[in-house]
Amino acid sequence: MWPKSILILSCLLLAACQSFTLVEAEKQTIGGTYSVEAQIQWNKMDEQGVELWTVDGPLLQSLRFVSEVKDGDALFTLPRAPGSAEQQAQMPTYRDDFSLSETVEFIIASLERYGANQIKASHIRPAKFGSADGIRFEFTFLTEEGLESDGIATAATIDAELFVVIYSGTHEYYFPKYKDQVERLLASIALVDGQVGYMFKSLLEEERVGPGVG
Amino acid sequence: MSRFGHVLGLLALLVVLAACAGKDLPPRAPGERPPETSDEAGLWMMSDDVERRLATSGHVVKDPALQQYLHQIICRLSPEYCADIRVHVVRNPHFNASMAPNGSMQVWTGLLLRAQDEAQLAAVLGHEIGHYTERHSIERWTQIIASSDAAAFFGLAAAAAGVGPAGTLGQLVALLSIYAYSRDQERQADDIGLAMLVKSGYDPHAAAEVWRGIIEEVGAGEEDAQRPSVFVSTHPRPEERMKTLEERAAALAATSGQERSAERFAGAINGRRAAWLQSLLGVRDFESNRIVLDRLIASAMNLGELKYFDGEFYRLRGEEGDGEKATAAYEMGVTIGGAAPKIYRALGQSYMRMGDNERARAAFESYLSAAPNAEDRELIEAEIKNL
Repeated sequence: MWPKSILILSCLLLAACQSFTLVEAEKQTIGGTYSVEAQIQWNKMDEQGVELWTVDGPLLQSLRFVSEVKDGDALFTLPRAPGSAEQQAQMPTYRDDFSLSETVEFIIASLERYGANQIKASHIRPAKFGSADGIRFEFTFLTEEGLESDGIATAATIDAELFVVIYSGTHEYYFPKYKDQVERLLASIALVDGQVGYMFKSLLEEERVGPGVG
Repeated sequence: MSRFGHVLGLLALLVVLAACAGKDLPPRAPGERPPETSDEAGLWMMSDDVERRLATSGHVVKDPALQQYLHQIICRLSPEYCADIRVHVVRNPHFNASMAPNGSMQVWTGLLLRAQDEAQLAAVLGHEIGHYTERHSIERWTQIIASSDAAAFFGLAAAAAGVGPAGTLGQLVALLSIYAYSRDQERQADDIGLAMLVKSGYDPHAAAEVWRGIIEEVGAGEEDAQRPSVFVSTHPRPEERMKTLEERAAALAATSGQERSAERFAGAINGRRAAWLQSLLGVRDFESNRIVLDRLIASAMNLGELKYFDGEFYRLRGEEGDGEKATAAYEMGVTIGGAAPKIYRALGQSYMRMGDNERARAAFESYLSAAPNAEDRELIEAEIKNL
């Protein structure tokens, strides 16, 4: 049994070795599925398959784009480290028949297993993810060191795969520092042509078979 | 001192301590703090620093009433050392308690979920106090660095010196202080803990019961040390410890007390257990979780709440037939009463999955009625609209 903090330490050590590339303040495509308008320059790195953007450093604020989460997948992948296989096996996994509430719960549980302590979600609601119907909520949590932090999560199912965007940072200074820019970025999400989001599956199915759905 | 400095200090300290490896230390006197010039003083200083970090870390449950309850048990078990020991409740669903060399005790919420009464909890706390009074941590550390384990330890400590979060060092210390006490140290702590139980009027059978529960949960007979508790990664084997404790309790039965204080324990964790259960189910160790849940259900304390988590267990496991079991558990929880309003939301989702939209709507509406200010009100209203 290895403490979660050892695994998180491994994540951080790995992060320290990662190289960043510059994200220009312009339209950016995420995973070939949707685009966003970056309002400012960010630094981008790959975090075990997750596209992570930050300005001041991942420990201070981060914008994570988790794409193409399929049935049976975990939201996050832990880096290889002693005990990580066991920890990874205990990560929640996505099911493509999740309800809206279950999708929210899946994201929250995944964040908890990824190091967000005592997480509290608020204003959980339906929200547009580009043209797709999705969900959104805000949350607070404590870092390993007990630092109060804030976050925003939004997600949608697109072609049977879950797409999630998570912005988080320290409550003092770093989360609010770019919150407005992130809000504008989230509002700019646009699905690439041909992508269909359907969190409200029954609505979509009815739309497919005929009219009569508001 | 920087984090790097702390770890370097720790490494240097361990090198110094290596010089006195194998030294038998006398038991700690109540109120005793090692002289500043002693080897042990550095370890205490480091432990003090770790404790300060732990107290503000994201893992600690800030609950003065619960801390006070636990501290009262410690004072009852060991009045002499009462003032020397501080308790920190750590939100972690695994079974564990540990004691740092400076009197800082960690009690994990997983232990509080698994103890069935105050006597069982006291058995674990007494055992940990035994490690403290006998200075087992410092003895063990000196043994570690004089052995081949040193390479592994130094590797971990050096990693912590890099970019590790502040909590890491604390976890390391906790890990090392409990990871592998020697056979003799564990036996000694068991003896001390049992003596404290008897002296305090608790039923001494509680100590063996704790081990029986651990064995049941982890299948220790198969030497599965990976889950769920570092508490079992020790020697002697759990079966041997349980047997020894059972025999000693039987021998003491005629003269010992019988107190279990199940109600007082239930009162202390009342209202807190749901968050701990949520954390337990987050681990997805379904075999272990099933055993813990069954034990709690058998105790029947707030059964409505337990049936909610019973349903959650089946929903999360998702094996064939689990959907029906989850629905049945939620329904029973609603009938019994006492669960949080979210049991209605869970029931609504179950019915929705079954295609029973009428009952799903009714359950969701019951949820919104019971929790009008729910944070997910808009989402549930959308679910209802979508039915």
